[in-house]
Amino acid sequence: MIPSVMNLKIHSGERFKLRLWLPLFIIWPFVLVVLLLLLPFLVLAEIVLRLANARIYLFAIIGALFSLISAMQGLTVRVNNEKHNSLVHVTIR
Amino acid sequence: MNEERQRILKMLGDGKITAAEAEDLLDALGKNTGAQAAEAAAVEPKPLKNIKYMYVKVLSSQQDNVDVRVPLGLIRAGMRFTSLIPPMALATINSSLKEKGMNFDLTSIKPEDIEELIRNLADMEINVKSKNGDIVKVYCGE
Repeated sequence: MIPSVMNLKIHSGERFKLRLWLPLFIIWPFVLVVLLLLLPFLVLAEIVLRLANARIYLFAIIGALFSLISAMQGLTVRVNNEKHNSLVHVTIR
Repeated sequence: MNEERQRILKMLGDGKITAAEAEDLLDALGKNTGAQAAEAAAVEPKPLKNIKYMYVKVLSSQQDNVDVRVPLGLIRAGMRFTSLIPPMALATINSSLKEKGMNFDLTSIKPEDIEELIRNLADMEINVKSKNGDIVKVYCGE
């Protein structure tokens, strides 16, 4: 499953507070459209790379990137300093 | 009853060995099969525990705390990237690793190695406590 929501929380003392809820599920259809538009160029690049024997497989890289993004669901990073009351909290769901 | 045991009992029945000798032989056979079973259990792959995440926790003495939860699937997907690295770049990476004292060949990583690595991560627990009170913990869990 591809991640659907990303939560970002940044606190720096009492001066700066940022709380973002990023709906990734809105971004994915656009990414799909961009990929479809780029598809002819990607196919061309793949053919050129194969003819040049460069051993760089664009579609395999895109597939691996997609699986990497999919695997990010559940990733949580939290960095905080209690002394300075600062916090960076990223959650991907 | 296995073949060896039957043979020992037959030898005892035929009078070729005494009861004490038969007992010793049966004991030795029992120990041997026990050791074989232990060896087989060690070789047999461990069942995959229901672990989903790797946790990295850093508790600093200066109150800088880091808490990271990494899905194991991300490690698996990341390892898949090694198969996409061009051979020339792999050679450069391998030589750089060797220079740093890590004699590790990235080209030798197979998908089954990745699965075994992840399976064995379940038993892994790293606890580091420094002199100045910093604590680093790495473990896997649900």
